[in-house]
Amino acid sequence: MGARSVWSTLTGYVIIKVKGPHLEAFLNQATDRGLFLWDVRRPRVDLLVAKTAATGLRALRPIARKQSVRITILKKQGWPFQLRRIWARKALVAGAILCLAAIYTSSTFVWFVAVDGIERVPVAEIKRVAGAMGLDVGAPKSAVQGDEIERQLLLDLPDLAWVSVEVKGTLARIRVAEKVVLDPDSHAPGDVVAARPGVVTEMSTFLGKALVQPGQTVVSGQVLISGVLSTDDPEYQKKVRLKQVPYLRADGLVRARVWYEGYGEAPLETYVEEPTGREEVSYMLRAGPWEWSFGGKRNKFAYDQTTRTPWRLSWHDVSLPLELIKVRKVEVDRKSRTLDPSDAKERAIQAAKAQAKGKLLGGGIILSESVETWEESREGIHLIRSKVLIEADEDIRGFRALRSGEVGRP
Amino acid sequence: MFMGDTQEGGLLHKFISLFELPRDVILDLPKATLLGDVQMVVENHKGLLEYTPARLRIRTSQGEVCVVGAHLRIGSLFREELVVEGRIDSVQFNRRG
Repeated sequence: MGARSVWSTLTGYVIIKVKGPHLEAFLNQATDRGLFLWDVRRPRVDLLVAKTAATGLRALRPIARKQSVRITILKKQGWPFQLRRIWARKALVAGAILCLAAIYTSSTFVWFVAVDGIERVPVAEIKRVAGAMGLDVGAPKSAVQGDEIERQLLLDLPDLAWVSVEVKGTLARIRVAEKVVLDPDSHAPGDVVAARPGVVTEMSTFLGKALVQPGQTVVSGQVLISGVLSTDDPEYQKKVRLKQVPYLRADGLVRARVWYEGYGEAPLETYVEEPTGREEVSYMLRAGPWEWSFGGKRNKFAYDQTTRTPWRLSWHDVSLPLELIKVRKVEVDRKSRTLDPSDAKERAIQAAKAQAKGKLLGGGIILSESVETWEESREGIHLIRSKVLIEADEDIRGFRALRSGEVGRP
Repeated sequence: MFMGDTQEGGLLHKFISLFELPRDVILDLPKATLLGDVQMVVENHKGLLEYTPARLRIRTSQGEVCVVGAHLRIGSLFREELVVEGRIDSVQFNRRG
């Protein structure tokens, strides 16, 4: 598209038909008046078709009268004419303006709030504090004071080390970095205590004073190695001089024989579910606390297996509070089946063992297991029950800090 | 590209040659530029004498320029410039007088 075409389209031009005699004289007079014509064709002796600027048409009329020719406008081209046609459709213009205004206005609000960098602090808590400072879905962007929100978040949530609030488009992004908190009790003075009751089998003291001997029975919470310092101990004098608590962080190795019990049960009858072939699919739309169900005939199956597949519109880590859930119910026929008693017994024993072993502290060596099983009936259901007693040798150390008094693992 | 020839004013001719002045402007000569056989630009014309799709006669200060061809159309027409487009078979200068 040449420069002339672009200019003509911008300013508007007309395609005219000139009919009559002496068309050459008409053209000469038009050019003498400074008018510009282009794409002039002569389809017939008495007919001329040409293009000229819309503004020059007025000047052509007197020339046409003088030369006794008739000018007819075949077509009007260019933006001025397009705009005039659009302007005639006022409802369309008004609608377009309203639409643009609505889009622009809605872009001045925050519609999404995203939080990044979270590990321990709840996201809801950060959003609550930010919301109290004016940063929430639907808030005007001009009302969001990033610096003040950052300051308030650091004040209200002491676990945060750094906060950044940024609004880009309609998304407000809160980036946080949490503090790395050292356990205050990790170097604190305290005693080694028994985490489990048992009979001490091995004892090694690294720091502190041992209060029990191998072969001795201990109870939970009993002090095994004490961190107390006697007043004539040079370490005591040193700590007092340094204004520290004159107490050691006791340390050592204490292993003991411990016993754990576990219970398990298994029914002698079970149910097997087989699909009948009938199923029903329905949908649920959830928006916040509201739900609407649609689709499906709401068949009532006696027994069914239901699967729900949620689908949520999301962009990066921000999702709309709108969820579409596909609910698929497959009808099943439930049949009872009698189990082999030995199978049921084995399952009960395994369940009891799993429960007993779950109580081990870790690093324990199982020395022996004793198993007991019996039958029972409860509410018409026949069961096989099992009790397992495990004897193990394990490290029973616990640590109780002098300050907190809570027992933890060293 | 060629301009209309002039024999008049030997002194004027020498003056123009000496100072390398544009002859079309000083001597009011038409300047015709031919682009293959599809386009011809005529500057410094004095108007149209005849226009049909087969023939175009243009008035100049020296007489007329006759363009013969087929599907001839006037690409653009302004005060002193005229662009002829189409299939140009021949261009002829007809001197006045």
